[in-house]
Amino acid sequence: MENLGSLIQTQTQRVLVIDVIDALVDNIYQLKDDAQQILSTLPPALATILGSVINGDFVSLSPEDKEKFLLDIKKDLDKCQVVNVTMAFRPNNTFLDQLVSWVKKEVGQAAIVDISVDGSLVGGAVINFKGYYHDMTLKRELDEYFSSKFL
Amino acid sequence: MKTFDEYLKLTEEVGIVEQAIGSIVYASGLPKATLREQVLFETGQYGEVSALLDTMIEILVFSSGDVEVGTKVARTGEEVMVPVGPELLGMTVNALLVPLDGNKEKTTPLQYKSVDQPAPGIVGRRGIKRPLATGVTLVDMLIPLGKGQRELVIGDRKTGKTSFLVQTLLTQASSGGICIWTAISKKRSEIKEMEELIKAKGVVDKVIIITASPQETSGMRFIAPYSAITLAEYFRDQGIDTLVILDDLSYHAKVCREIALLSKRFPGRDSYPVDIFNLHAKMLERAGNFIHDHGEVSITVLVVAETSGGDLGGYVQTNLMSVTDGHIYFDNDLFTRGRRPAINPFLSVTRVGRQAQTPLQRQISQEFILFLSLYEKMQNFIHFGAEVTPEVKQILAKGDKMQSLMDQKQHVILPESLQAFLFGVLWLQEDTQMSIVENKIYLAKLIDRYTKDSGFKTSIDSLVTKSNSLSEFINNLQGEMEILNIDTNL
Repeated sequence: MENLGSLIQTQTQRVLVIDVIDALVDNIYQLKDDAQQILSTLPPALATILGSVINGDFVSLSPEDKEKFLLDIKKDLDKCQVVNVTMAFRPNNTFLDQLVSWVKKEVGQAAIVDISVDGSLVGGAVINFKGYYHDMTLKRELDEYFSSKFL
Repeated sequence: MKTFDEYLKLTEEVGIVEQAIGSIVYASGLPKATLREQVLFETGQYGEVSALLDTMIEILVFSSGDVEVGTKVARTGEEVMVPVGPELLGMTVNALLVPLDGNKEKTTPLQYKSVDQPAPGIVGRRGIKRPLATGVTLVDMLIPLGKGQRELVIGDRKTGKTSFLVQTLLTQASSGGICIWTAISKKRSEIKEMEELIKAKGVVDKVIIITASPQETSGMRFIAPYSAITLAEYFRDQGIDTLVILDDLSYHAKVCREIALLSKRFPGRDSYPVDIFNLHAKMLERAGNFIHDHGEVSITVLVVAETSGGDLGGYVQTNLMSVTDGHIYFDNDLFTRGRRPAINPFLSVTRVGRQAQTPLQRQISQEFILFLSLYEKMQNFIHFGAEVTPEVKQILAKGDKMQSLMDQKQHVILPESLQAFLFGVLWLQEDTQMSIVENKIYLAKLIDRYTKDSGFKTSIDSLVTKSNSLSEFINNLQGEMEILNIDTNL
């Protein structure tokens, strides 16, 4: 379970996984092959991650224990700290991996990134974590430069 | 005020609205927010931090319109500030002292003050020694007020409280003081009437009207009296006596109750917040008579509270009674019997006002209240249908006449020396055959003469000023009756 938080990278992924866990809990008494069917609704990478967590001993558990197990996973996911990052472009997977590994190194393995895109930032990023707001964008630099020059 | 982005850059903190219930908003983030700090939403709306919870902060919103969940909010690093200055004189402003539509062309003050100021300590204060004329004979004679006093004006709806307040406001504004009228939860039509009256009486440059109508947010209605006191403190610092009318604090208490219940605070008696006494006491403690470079300067506060069915024992009403230096009670029974103003002098109290009276005024007051008490007793006595003696008849007739001295039309203001003079004339009057109507006409003629004849006015004023006791005053008056060409009969 501990691994799941560290394997999830973004807020979008967390929401998808939580949706799947909710679906699994709703069908807890019918879970046989259906679990695989529900997991198949996730993107392959996420399905592999979640599948690796719920396989193994999970199949042999009673429905009540299965439910408790899944709700514990959900609780752990809820505890993940969200780092909001606003960027000028939507990052590709390589960039995202680098960004997430940096965030997890700085904040902790349970941290996830919530990416939003705002083209007006030009470059750089605005990071918002636990209410602290850091504007490290090119837009800010340019604003300050032009303000000092012309105002 | 800076923009949202500027505050964001300045404080480097951001919050997200998680829940909104009426004027109360809960936001996550803003780790260094402090209590009563002003916050700005990205929509341009603003509010103040009203509580710091474990994971969230509670914000009391002042701006109108709903705040949506997910809206960003920034700290300003400042407490709620209001603009103060003489530029506001003659204006009608909202609870944050921003001029309302009709007044926007006028200059906005440059100075800002925090609305949450601590009350000055005892060292900076002086005893109340200067009288505050209300222009209402009954009050000035029997329940006198002093500058710096906090007096509660209490009574049922439609018993003439506002008329009395208007008379006091006009009297004070005419004598050079600054008056701040704070209308909390009052209809806009009432505010408009007040504006027009003030304009008609020519004291517009001495009055500021602060409005927080029922259409506005509870945050605005909550902060209105604090802004009024803050504005009065500005004029106090300039050495100008200020009269603040808070009309009315029982509505303000209801706003506090609304906010407290929405914030899920533990309700106290009648569901009011448990700290309602502290809220009002802390605010009214900012009034008083203070030491100033030029002597002394005062903030007098007239607090209005509404009763229901003449019940003086309500929670907020009794709280306010214990916070203030007395109360003027408007009696519904007296009102229905035609008394104007319908003030019950026996149930009214002034704790510090008498020390501001001259020896003559004090003696008149004592004599008058004793006589009125005797008159009331005699009136109760004749209810039994008992045969009355000539002495009792005389007391009743004189009481009726003295009562007509107390009756005063709306917006009629009587100076204190004229009040004493009229009392003296009636006291000397022997003719008990004069009817009440005739007596009223007689008094009206004297008032008219005092207003129009400057020589007569000067003589009366000096007569009152030079008399140090009631007996001396009556003697002097008797001596000058003929000189002044005053007949005690119609």
